[in-house]
Amino acid sequence: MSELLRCDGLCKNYGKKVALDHISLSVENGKIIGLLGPNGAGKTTLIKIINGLLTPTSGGVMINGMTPSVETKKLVSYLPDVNYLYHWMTVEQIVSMFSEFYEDFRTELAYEMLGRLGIDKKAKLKTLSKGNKEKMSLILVMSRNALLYVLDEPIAGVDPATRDYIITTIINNYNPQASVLISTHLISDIEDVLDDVIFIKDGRIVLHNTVDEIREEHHMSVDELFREVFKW
Amino acid sequence: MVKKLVKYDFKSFFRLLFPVQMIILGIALINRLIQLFEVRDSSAYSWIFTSSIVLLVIACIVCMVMTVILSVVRFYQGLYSSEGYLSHTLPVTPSQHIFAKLSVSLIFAAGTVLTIFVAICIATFGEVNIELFKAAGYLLGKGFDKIGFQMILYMLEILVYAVLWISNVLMIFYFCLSVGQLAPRKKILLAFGVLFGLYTITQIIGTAGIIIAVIAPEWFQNLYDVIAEFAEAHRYLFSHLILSGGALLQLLEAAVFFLISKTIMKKKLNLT
Repeated sequence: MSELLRCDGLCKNYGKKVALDHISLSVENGKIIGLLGPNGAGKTTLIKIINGLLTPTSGGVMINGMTPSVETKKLVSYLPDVNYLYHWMTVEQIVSMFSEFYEDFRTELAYEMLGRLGIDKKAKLKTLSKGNKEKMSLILVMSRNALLYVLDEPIAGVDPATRDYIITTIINNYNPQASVLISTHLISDIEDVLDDVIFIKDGRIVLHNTVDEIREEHHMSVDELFREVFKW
Repeated sequence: MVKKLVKYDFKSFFRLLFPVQMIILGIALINRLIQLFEVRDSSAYSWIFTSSIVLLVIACIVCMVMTVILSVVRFYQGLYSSEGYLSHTLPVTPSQHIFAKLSVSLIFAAGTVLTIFVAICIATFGEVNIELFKAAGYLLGKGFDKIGFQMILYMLEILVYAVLWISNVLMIFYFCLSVGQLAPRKKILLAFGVLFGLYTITQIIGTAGIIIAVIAPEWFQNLYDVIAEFAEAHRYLFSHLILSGGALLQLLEAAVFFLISKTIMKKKLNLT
C-alpha cells in the first residue's frame, strides 16, 4: 500500500475562527474512508484544501507526494457540496468538456450510467431536477479513473432511493487502486461500505480507525459511536 | 489547455452576445428598409424613422455595455462563484484561466465593434455609404501619399494601443474581483472598494502633477520646451514614441494586474 494523501499539522483560520486545528492524517490507496463530523466540524474546509481551493494558514498537504497543483488535479476527482456544473451547458457538452480536460475520463462509462438513468444527452443542465443534477455530478466524478476520489456530502439532501443509487455508483465505479474520501454526517447510510473512518470535531481529528476495529473495540456500530462522540 | 478553455468560454459568451449582435443588425436592416419607403413631409414617417435610429443607437450602446459587463461577470462566475469549483479543479494553471478569459473578451469586443460598423454600413447603405467610404479612402490615400509607410505604422500602433488599452481595462476589473474574493463575505463590495481605491489613487497622482505644475512652473516650462524641440526635430519619431510608449505603459500596467491576480488565484484562492 502506498500513501495517497498526507496532511501535516494543517491549520486554517477564518479571521479569529479556527476551522482546522493541526490536522495530521495519512490515507493509503485501495480504501473507502468516511470523513465524519457534524456540520461546521471542518470537513469541507479540509476537502477544499486538498483540492487546492483554499490555502491553509499553516501546515501542508501532499497528494501522491506532491503539493496541490495542476499535477495533483489530474489525480484527484472531486465532487463539491455545491452545484458546480456550468448550468447553461447540455449534458453532452459537459461530458465532452470532462473528456477533453481529464485524460482519465471514461466517456463510454459516463454515457452508460446516464443512459441507465434515462437522462437525455441533449437536455440542458439547468432543466434537470435536483436529484438528477446530483446524480449527473456524481457520474462525471466517478467516470474518471482517478487515484483519489474526494466526495463532499454526496448523499446530503437527496431522497433514500437516490442515496442508494449514489452509494452503489460509488462502489461499482471507483478504481480499486484508488481511495475514496467521503465526507458526510449521514453515517448509517454509508457505514457498510467504509473501510476506515475519520471523526472530525471542531477542526480536530478525534478518531481515525478502521471500521472493523471500531466495532471490535467499542462493540457498537460507527453510527452509534458517532452519536456517542458527538453527543450534545 | 488554453485552446480548450477558450472554446468553452467562447460558447458561454456566444450564447448571450451573439443574439444581441444579430438584433443590432436586424434593427439596422429595418432602418434601411424604412428609408427605402420614404414618405416626404409625413410626420408619421419621420417619427418611425427617428425611432428606428434611436433604437439602433440604444442597441449599439447596450451591446457595448453588455460586452464589458459580460467580460467581468463571466470572469467572476467562472472563477470565483460555484463554477469556480469546477474551473479550479481542472488541470489548468491560473495564468491559463486568466489568459483564456481575456482572449475571449477581446474577441467579443472586436466582434461588437465589427457588428456596430456593419450596422452603420447597412443603415447608411446607398449614396451616403458610398460617400463615406469614398471620404475614408481619400483621406487614407492622401495620408499614404504624404507619409508613405509611416501611415501603416501609425495604424498598426493605434490598433495595438487599442487592444492593450482594452486588455488593461479588463485586467483592472479582474484584479479588483481577485482582491474582492479574499473577503470572507461581501466579496463584490470589496471589489468595488478596490476599484474606487484605484480610481482615487490615479486622481491623487493627477492632482499632485497639477500642484507641482503650479508650484514650479519653470520646471514644467523647461520640460515642455525640451519635448517641443524634440518633436519639431523628429516629428515622426516623436509621434511613434508617444503611441508606442503609451501602448507599452498599458502593457506594463496590464502585466502587473495580471501577475497580482494570478498570484492571488494560485496562493490565496478563497472559494467559500
